[in-house]
Amino acid sequence: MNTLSRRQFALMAGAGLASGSLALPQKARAQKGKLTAGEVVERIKKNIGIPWIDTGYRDTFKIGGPDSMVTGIATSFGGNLRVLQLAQKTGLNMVIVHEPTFYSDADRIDLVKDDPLYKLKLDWANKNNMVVWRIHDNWHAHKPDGIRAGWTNDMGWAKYEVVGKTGLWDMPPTTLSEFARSLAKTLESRSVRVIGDPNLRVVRVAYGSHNLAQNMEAIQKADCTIVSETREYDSFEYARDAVLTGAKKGAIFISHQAGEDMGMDEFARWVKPFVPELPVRWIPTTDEFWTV
Amino acid sequence: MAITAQQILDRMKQKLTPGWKDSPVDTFLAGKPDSEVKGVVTTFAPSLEVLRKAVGSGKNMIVSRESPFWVRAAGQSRPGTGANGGGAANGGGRGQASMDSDPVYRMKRDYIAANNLIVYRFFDNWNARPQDPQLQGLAKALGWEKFYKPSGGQPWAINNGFFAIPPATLRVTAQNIKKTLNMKSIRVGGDPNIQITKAALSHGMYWIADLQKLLAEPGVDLVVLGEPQWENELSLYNFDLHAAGQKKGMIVLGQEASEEPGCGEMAAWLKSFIGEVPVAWISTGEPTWMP
Repeated sequence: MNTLSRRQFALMAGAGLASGSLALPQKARAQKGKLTAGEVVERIKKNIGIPWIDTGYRDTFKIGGPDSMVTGIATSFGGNLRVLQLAQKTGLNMVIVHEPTFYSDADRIDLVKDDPLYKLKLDWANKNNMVVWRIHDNWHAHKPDGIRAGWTNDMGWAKYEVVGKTGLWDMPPTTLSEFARSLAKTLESRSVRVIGDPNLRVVRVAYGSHNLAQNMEAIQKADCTIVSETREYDSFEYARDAVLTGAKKGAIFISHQAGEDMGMDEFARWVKPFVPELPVRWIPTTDEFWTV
Repeated sequence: MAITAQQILDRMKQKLTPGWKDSPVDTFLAGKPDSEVKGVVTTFAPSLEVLRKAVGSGKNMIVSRESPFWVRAAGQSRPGTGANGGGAANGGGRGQASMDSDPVYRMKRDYIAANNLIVYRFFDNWNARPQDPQLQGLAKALGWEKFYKPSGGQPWAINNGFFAIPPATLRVTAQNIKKTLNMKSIRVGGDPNIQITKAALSHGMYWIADLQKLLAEPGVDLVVLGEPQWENELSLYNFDLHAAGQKKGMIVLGQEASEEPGCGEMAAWLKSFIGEVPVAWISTGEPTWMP
């Protein structure tokens, strides 16, 4: 996976932010006039390979619109202000995100319109000609699911995949605590929580989901299930009870970002051939949780 | 004198202020209401371990915040905001037919039946009390009662949990909380070196409206909460505050750690009007550890 490049990028960007280079002029002008954001979206819709899913609120523009000129494309898990700042600094003014920008799934403006943080973010973005567009439902619906594919490819786990089973792997044998430690290291994430005996032998690993029903299934078919953000009051408690029955089970709960960020690396790889006029780069959202 | 689970519930309904409101959430989820109760246990989640401890101490009625079979009722609301969890993540359990094929479900169901246990879920009505006992329990567990600085309105109401805590950095404040609550997995957002002087305390799930209210309180530089729904919506708000250079921190305790102390309050309340049988709080315990 792109661990090194991710870390280097974060260091580079961190240093840049610290020295106040946020105000660096964009490389925008050199490429200006090549493509509009609307044209980029049209090409994505043409190439996605499925009937376009339109909820009316999810896979839509969040900042800017179809007429905005695009200087380059950044892809990322979330519309975090920090990600937008990094994209702007890198000269990429269109950020394609998988998750919300304005703090709710539907990016409901009525909930935040008087909120100073919303105004600050929007004003900064508009001043810097930033465009944010979301692809959630359609990237999941793409065959294969682009978010899952990004995990498998960036983790380098295709070789472990159980034949014919997406999201199920037979890994080199290890223990639950070792596996959790290596996962935290690879994902560069501190938001890693585990249920189960640290010495549990782990070979078969499943990828769970945000909801209980799918986690119940995953936990039953694997030694260890990796879950990217789920509700604690149901899935955590089910995993706890599964262990208490005496079954040899473990579950590792990672952050939403850690589970899906690589899916937008996959998206950057996927979209590049359709937009040869523009630079395209994955800017990892990275884990902003830390622990003590 | 013998007392049944239904009689205990009737007494709870009678004693609860400001008055009981029937709810699809507050119901018997296992066992027979007309069973004789030998003792009452309160807890966050009736895990197999809690059930075994109840049986081991001769108690057979469990009053819990969460469900023995994990699923939350659809559309369950969060008091104070009118918001609800919504979507697949709230509920999202399987139909009864496929629950029956799950070995964890079967073992738990059979254990409950074999030991004549009764599980009553007590959530909406407990939350609806004007002084939020879950907030009070958590403040007490943190040793923060003496720092309480309510905003206007009803003291100890939900979304009125403000505390002028001893000044320390975000990192040290998180360390102190972790130690006091004897936790293993605590998560923090924000600059570790900012100075914290006033904390807003919350528990369970929280929504954007809660967050905006808590952060609108003058001087608040820390929000302590149970579980964000979702990390990419609610935690994003806190991460953006950080990116915007605002000196605000976030400490995420986890659902259980934030709600468990209030279940101790629940036991104390039940004890005040149940004299026939013993009542005890059994902590479910933090579910997770960190590598």
